[in-house]
Amino acid sequence: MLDKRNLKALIITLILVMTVSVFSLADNSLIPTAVNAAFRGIFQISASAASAGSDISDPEALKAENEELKKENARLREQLVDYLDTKEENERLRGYYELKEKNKSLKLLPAKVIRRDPNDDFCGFTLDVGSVDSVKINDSVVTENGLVGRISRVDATTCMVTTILSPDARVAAVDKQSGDGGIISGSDSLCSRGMTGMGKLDGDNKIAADDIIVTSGTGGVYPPNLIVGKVRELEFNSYDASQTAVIEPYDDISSITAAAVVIDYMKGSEGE
Amino acid sequence: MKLKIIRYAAYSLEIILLLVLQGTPGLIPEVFGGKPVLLVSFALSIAAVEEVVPSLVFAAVCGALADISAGGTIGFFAVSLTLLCYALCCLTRYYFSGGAAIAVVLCLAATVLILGARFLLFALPQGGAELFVSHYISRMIYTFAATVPLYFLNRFLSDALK
Repeated sequence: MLDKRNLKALIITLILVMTVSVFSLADNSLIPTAVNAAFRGIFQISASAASAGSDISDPEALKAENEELKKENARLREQLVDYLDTKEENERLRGYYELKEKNKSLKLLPAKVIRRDPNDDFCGFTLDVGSVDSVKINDSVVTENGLVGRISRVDATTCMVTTILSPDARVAAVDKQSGDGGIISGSDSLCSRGMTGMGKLDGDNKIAADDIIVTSGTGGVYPPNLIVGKVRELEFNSYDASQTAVIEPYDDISSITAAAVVIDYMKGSEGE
Repeated sequence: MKLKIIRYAAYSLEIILLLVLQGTPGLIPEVFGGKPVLLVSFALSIAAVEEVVPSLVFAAVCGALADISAGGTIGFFAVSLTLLCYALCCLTRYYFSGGAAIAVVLCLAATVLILGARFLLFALPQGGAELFVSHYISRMIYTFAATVPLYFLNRFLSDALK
């Protein structure tokens, strides 16, 4: 085990690894950027293939269509795939357009989910846009149904998203009906149910089930009036006599395949 | 020499495939809240069949890719996988040259060690012990389950392309 040659190899490898590690600390550092850029295309293809396989909603119609397509050549199959991709993108972009109509100050950059790391415990994911597309750390990430998270790391061609299900979320939010404010922050027990929590509530709050929670815009990180979700229930913490509102996002964050990054918005403007 | 190059090229293709498999959303189903860290499985299987120097190189590469995939900063997996694979390689080659059963047991121990260390350093401050029960136990079992077929595959490649 302590053979000199092997030990030397170990020490050299560790020194190289630690040197590379130091250089990878900064955002947009070379090696992670190069690796992510190199694998981005492969991940885009595999993510599209995986999501297409789960989108079959009418097996009988597709089977009949498939029988017809078998008689034709590869050019028609490619056209069908292109058509489905374009149709899906159109529906998604229509949703973002409606979101933007309600929040005219938002500048949205559509993106696709290309990777979900198995070590992420709170449904974080990687998008196929990066700093070359004007994405910055702490930019909000939304779907047509509301807020899903914020950008936690950016390189040239990809970015990582920390979701609102994570304890690191820290979103200043407000109940649209009662006006009570709080901080959105996830936990493992809530995340396993696809939910997040709103804490730091006033003792005399008037939050009720089915109330809609939106971002308040205080703190300047998240634009105001982005929908977070609806209140499922209020939980009482017996240790410190505090309350937490359990919030159910309108999207299943663990399975979204596309999102949009809010690359700019006018601070101080109210959404309509 | 030529066979060695082909063998290492095959390992490199495996790394690319496993990186894509583990990261593609919705491809590998979650089992009791956990998914396998296939790059860790691969590195440990290589350490159990190859010599020290190639084990170190592949461990460092797999660790770096796992770190980049997890958060961008190369660190935990790169260093810990390098050290663990060095120990695993030395144990299987010089102390326990007893074949598949010993190698598999050592791989299990290594999987528990590395993912346990990750829990202690990164997850415990975030979510507490409940994360270990809801995610890490299943992740350890799932990762180890992936190590076993990879071990036999890489052992076959190592024997066939020697």
